[in-house]
Amino acid sequence: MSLPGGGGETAPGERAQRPRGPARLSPWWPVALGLLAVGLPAALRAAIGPRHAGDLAILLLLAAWGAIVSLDERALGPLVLHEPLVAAGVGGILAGRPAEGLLLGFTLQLVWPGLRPLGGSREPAAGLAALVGLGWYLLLPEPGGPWRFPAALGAAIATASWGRAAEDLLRRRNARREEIWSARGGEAARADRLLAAGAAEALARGLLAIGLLVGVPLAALRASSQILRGHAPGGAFAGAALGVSWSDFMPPEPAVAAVWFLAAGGLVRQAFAARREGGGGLTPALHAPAFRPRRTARGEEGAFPAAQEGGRPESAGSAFRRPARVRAALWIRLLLIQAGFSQAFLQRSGFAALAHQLGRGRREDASLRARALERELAGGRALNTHPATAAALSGALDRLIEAPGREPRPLSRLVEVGGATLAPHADRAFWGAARPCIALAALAIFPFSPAAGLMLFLAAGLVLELGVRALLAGWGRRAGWAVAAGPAGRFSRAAPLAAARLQPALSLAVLGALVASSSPGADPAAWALRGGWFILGGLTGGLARRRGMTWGWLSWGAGAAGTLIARILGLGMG
Amino acid sequence: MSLALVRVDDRLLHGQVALGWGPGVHARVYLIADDRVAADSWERAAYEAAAPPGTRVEVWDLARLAARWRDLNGAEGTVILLRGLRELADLEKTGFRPPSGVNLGGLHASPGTRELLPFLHVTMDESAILARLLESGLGLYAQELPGRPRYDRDALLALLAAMEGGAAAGRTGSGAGR
Repeated sequence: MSLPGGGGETAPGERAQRPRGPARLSPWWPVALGLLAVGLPAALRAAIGPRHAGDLAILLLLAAWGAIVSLDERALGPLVLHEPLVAAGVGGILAGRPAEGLLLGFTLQLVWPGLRPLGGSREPAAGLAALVGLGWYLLLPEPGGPWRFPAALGAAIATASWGRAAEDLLRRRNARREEIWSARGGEAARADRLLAAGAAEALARGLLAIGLLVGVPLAALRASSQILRGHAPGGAFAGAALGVSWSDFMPPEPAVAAVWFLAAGGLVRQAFAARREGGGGLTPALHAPAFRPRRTARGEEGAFPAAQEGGRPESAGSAFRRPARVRAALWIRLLLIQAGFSQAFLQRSGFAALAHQLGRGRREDASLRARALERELAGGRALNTHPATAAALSGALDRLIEAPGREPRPLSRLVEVGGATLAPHADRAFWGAARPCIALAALAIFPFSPAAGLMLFLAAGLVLELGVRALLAGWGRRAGWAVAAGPAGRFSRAAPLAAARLQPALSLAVLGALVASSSPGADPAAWALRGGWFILGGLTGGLARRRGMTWGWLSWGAGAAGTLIARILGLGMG
Repeated sequence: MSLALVRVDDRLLHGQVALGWGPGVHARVYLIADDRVAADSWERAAYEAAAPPGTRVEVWDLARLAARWRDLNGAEGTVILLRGLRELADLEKTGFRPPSGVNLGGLHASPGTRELLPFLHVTMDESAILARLLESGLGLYAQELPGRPRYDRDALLALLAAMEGGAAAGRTGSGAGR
């Protein structure tokens, strides 16, 4: 697999002269395994019988969408495709069952309204979790109806945990490939292969998740229950336990009650996170003096002297004003900068591939500077930044490669220092402010119009993620070395705080929407029960405010157990 | 009252520190103690500008921190950031003993390093330094983010022993194969 515009043809005999590294890791085997995993349940299904022929189509559609969701989660930034509401909502639409997809997506979005993958930390794999849960919800045998929703939620939360383990494995594979790449000379032109392999494995992870965690267990469940029902003594009971004839022991839709628990806990957790983001309060941020680069005498090495920044910058968009093919190649590297991510080297391979593209189609002197940067990055230490601010750094590098001044330090220092200093700005703006606000707004709209909630999340998220990258590339181009100081304007500093402070109001709007959309005629016992759920959920969410997976399991377990107790006691569920 | 956090992280101030740790320990000041940053006005200005709202960043060289860290010990909300184990070892020789211990939060791969934990990579020299620091009673612990697993002295010593054992086995194995 190669990315468009990838260069670096191998000279004859070059491979033989390279230092011998460990065995090469092929990016193709996970794809083959993934396809096998998707095909396996189909084979099992064929062995069981021709019933539910449409299930195979659903499984394949979910697998294809799951691959894209996984790519988004691991390699694309992430954008918003992996958010539970979007992943399950679109999955439900693809499967022809939008209502189920939206309901499951809404529930899981309430569990994790704002995940924050800070500095490459691993968050629950919420997108794949939503799709696996949807697969269970749609494909569990019909008689298992009453248990469908809790089973789907359980499968989803188990998948979120599995996704973290899979992420560890894939990061290790990325690190291994990067070690081999370094041992062979670390040519930036070949860093594309690291990104391509990482992207291929991200796609394979999605296929595997649906194939192994939906297709195989459900096919096995059906096969086992058929066998037990037909042949084993006492098989009716065992068959029931495996999903063929669940009794009406559970309420028809436990989610109706559990959603109050999930909403309270999820929103309390988000409130704690928002409080941390806005801890200093909005007022100090608004009145704090904006950062201004220190100016020094011309020629003196100062903070951000104009003399170091090259000639007059071109317009904001000119960083990518090149032939369309080169421009597309550059943007693809920017979008895939996370694809080669590992705990050992972070985004180094992504930046090396980006630097190689920055040198293409240049004058000779600029091309030489780009090659020097490639060597510095490829032979240097781990590099990291927020995926969006990588666009700002690439704009700045583009300018400095094209029109350098008297550079007092290697350009790689801009990536190392700027990557670190820009990351907190972007983490706060994206993970701490904008993304949770969009999620909460979508959740508030959802009870009245599920489709509108989904569309808001998808459209606002994509516009934000892609639009801001384009703006940041232009800003980086104008800023040059000064890009490392981050956004200096008051608005860009205060806006994330304002958004973080908006979250409690949005959380209240979500609760208001839930109350308003509930049946007003419900009896007082049902409302008291909801209040109980709400308090219990809030307390649990508060206790598990820093543990995403613990909260996921607690929300599932407490919701299911509490619903069961309520059912046994004969309390109304509303 | 004591220092809010002392962290060893080769990225110094970044998202995990500013958003992951800072709010939880009520950070008011991020003190970057690093000779390289202190010596470069551009780097210093860049880090100063990265201060989260309501906080400020100060950049000191190691000698200044060694001389003045006790004055900071009563300053609530100070987070000290160090680039690596060598810097910490140099400070430790001057009597640097923060009561809250020292968090190992991020040492990434570079030529000659081996993985101790997914977020900690050390050379053989650094592993010897780490072993000495662990025995010195400095209160070292490894933890990437609040809420994530924490590895205290004994766990780190066990990991070091396992890593060195693995390295020795690797050397033996490769020798036997020749």
